[in-house]
Amino acid sequence: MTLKIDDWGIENQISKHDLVQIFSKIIPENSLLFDPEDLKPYECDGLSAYRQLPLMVLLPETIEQIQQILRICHQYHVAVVTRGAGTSLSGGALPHEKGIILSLAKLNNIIEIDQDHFTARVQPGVRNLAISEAVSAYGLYYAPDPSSQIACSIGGNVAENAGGVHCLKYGLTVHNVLQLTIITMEGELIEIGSEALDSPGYDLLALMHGSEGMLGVIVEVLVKLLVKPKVIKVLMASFDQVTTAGEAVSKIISSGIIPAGLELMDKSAIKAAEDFVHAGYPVDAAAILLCEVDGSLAEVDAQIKQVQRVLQQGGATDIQIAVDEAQRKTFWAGRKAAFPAVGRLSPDYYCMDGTIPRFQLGKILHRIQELSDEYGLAVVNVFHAGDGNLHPLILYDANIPGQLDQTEKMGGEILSTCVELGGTITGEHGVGVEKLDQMCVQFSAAELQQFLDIKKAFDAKNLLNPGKGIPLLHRCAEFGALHVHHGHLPHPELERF
Amino acid sequence: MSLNTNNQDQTEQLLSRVQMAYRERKPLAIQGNGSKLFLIHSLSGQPVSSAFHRGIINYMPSELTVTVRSGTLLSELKKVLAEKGQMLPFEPPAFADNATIGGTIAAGLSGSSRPFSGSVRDFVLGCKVINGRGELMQFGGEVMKNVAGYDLSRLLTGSYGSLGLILEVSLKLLPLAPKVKSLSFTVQSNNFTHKVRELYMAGHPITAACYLDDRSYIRIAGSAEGVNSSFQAMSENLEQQSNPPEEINNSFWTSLDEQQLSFFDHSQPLWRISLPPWTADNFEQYMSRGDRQLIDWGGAQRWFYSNQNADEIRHYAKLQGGHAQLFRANTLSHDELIRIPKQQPLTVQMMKIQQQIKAAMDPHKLFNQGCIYSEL
Ligand SMILES: Cc1cc2nc3c(=O)[nH]c(=O)nc-3n(C[C@H](O)[C@H](O)[C@H](O)COP(=O)(O)OP(=O)(O)OC[C@H]3O[C@@H](n4cnc5c(N)ncnc54)[C@H](O)[C@@H]3O)c2cc1C
Repeated sequence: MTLKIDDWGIENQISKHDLVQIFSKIIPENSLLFDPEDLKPYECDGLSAYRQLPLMVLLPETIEQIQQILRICHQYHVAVVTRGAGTSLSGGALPHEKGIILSLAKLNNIIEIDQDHFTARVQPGVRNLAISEAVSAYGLYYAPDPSSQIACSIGGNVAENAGGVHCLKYGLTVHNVLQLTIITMEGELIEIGSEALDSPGYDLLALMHGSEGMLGVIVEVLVKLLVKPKVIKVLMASFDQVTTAGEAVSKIISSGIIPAGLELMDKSAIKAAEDFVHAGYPVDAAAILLCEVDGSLAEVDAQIKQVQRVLQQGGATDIQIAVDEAQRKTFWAGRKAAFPAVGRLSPDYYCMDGTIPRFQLGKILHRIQELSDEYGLAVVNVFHAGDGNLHPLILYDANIPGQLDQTEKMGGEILSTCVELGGTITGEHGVGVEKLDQMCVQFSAAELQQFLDIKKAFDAKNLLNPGKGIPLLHRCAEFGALHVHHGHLPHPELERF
Repeated sequence: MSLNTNNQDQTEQLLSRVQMAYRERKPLAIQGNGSKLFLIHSLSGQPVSSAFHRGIINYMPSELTVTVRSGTLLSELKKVLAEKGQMLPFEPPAFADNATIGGTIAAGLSGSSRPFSGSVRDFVLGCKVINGRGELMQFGGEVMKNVAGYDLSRLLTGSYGSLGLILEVSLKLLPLAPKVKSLSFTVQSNNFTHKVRELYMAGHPITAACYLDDRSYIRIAGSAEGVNSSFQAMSENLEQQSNPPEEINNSFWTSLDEQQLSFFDHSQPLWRISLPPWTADNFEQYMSRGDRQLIDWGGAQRWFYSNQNADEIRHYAKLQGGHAQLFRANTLSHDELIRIPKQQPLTVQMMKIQQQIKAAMDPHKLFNQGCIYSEL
């Protein structure tokens, strides 16, 4: 795949050799990688179709080291790409050829758990799931749960404003973080937000979320913790039309219930998942909805009854409530295995991340089917239905000449349709290098220029993760997306949504 | 032009107004109906009001979203939402009948549900705005999840009109709970947070909690079954500690948010002290004679009437991890009013970045110059 990188005009004012000399006085030898051999593992993130070796990789262990590194890069005009766990699906952590990779993998300590105030102060390299595990004994958890949660870092979550299955009810990363400590490109340490629920001045905390490592390096995060729900129940409803399932989603929400999770799978996704994990899914159904509710026992019982009623009236052909925790987990296992299960059906697939207003579900499904017929490429649909966040997977074979290009074109049409239907090109995976072209579809020149001005407010020389997130105005051509070759997923150890 | 004054599109007028100011480099004083002006430093510049830019543009109850013009009255919006069984989850105070939604977003105030449901900015999904170059721009959207571009909609929330003139805002809504109950019981101030947190940890659906004059007030909301069973369980728990609770009217919370309780009949300066969640009361040592406090947000917000020195109050707030906002100046002298910033001063580095943000949005400082800090 050809990757078009915008030229942000970065000219290093130092040789690689001299830079190595300077950095070797700041961090230990084994934390400074510059042999091409050692750089290889850092050449891509979760979007492995794009690869680029950086000048070098630095693995600092302290805030002071990061400050020094950034000051030097600032002085000599060296681009800096911060890297968490490298699970980004949009190429956000892809190296810059004239830049360093600043890996925060060694900053992986939980600094403090504050049981009294329901918060945890953590370093940026701490894995998402590690937070919930560490506070579990206190009856608490950290709510945002991206499916990459066993691997992805909290710093990367903030940078991408990551979501999860439970964000319909409990919010995205931006709703669950109180404070960040960042270092600017000039090496200044700044606290953004506070331990309190709000802070004076402009809300830079919100601005940092989803800024894809372009505004500052996050070196500490204070997260909000929630009390674990007393009771959790999940219900599975079958439908003989995928559009009926889509409409049922709106009906549940219109009835006044906010489920903790609400996910939709179409026939091919059901079949693939069932063949793979035997979750007990109805393979002859056209679609299923998984609906989870949580709260006190009385609350959950009342809500489950109501959801059941709405689904029956909404045309569900069958409804099953998981009888115990084991069955609840099995119901979810099928959903969580949907991506790898699809990987067994086709040599390659391509994952999209558009979001639409829920009531447009029927229309987008219809359009995806039309495109699928037109291009002769099969599509499997897996949705965070409650949020209107789609992950259509286009099946293709990269070994058939031209099919990859066709797939990319078709994906582009899906994302453009999302924008036409009042939605957006990315719900949670970020723009990265992947959706720069679609940014031109979604935003006007004035809006894009405004973004570029905001970036300059933090980083006047445009050295932090240049070429990501925001296209330069003279761009607007082709685009790419997540490519999975022969079922070899980036991070095969992870469950996929 | 539409005869219906509840539905008027003034985009063109407001746009040309800002463009003219941009050409002439003449500052503007942006406001809605002025009900929150007491929260900022006085505005210079030619007045521009969004109050006539009115109307609900798109409301789809099944989507839990609404898009509305900034001049729409908050009261009208709330009424329309309530008719469909929905609400603004952050329960914004109005402080006047003519409060607009634009002013509500620009002031960034949230009511008593804040620690449990979230703040204004948590529910802002998108906005249409005119920047300081007179350009019409749209950020975010009407969908729940959206990470395309920087989140400028949330940045504009709470910026008091100093970054842009908000034309439209899209908000996430929540259904009104089928059942809401409120109760009150006796508690010592230093035990309030502890007690509420204990009930919260036990899984009760608490949506507001405050302390005033040796009493705790708690609201729970959810399905009828859930609320009734929690009400009973909480009552039993309290009775066992020989502290039987008494049910109170839910309207208590509106009176609190709108500052209509008799607690708010004071003439001293009123401070809003924002603190970490569940901060226990340790105020006694800081209070001097005549000071009065109400603890809200389960401990995360204090309303504090005091004649104490602003620096002292701010020092105290900072020690606790929070900050203090001069909310109502009341008896403060004119000199003091000029000298004391309404919001807690920022560090030098933070001010530098905020100035750069201001310059990125409004390079000629046309919008509400100095309304939050003189430097912005
Ligand atoms: C199998 C799989 C499933 C996934 N499921 C989900 C999902 O359900 N929901 C979801 O939202 N995403 C999902 N993702 C995407 C990805 O996991 C998230 O975007 C995650 O937040 C990235 O975190 P990371 O630590 O891997 O960041 P990286 O990939 O290392 O970096 C991502 C971006 O963040 C920046 N960054 C990282 N750390 C910092 C820091 N400390 N300071 C400043 N910038 C930083 C980088 O420069 C880069 O731009 C999935 C990915 C995979 C592979």
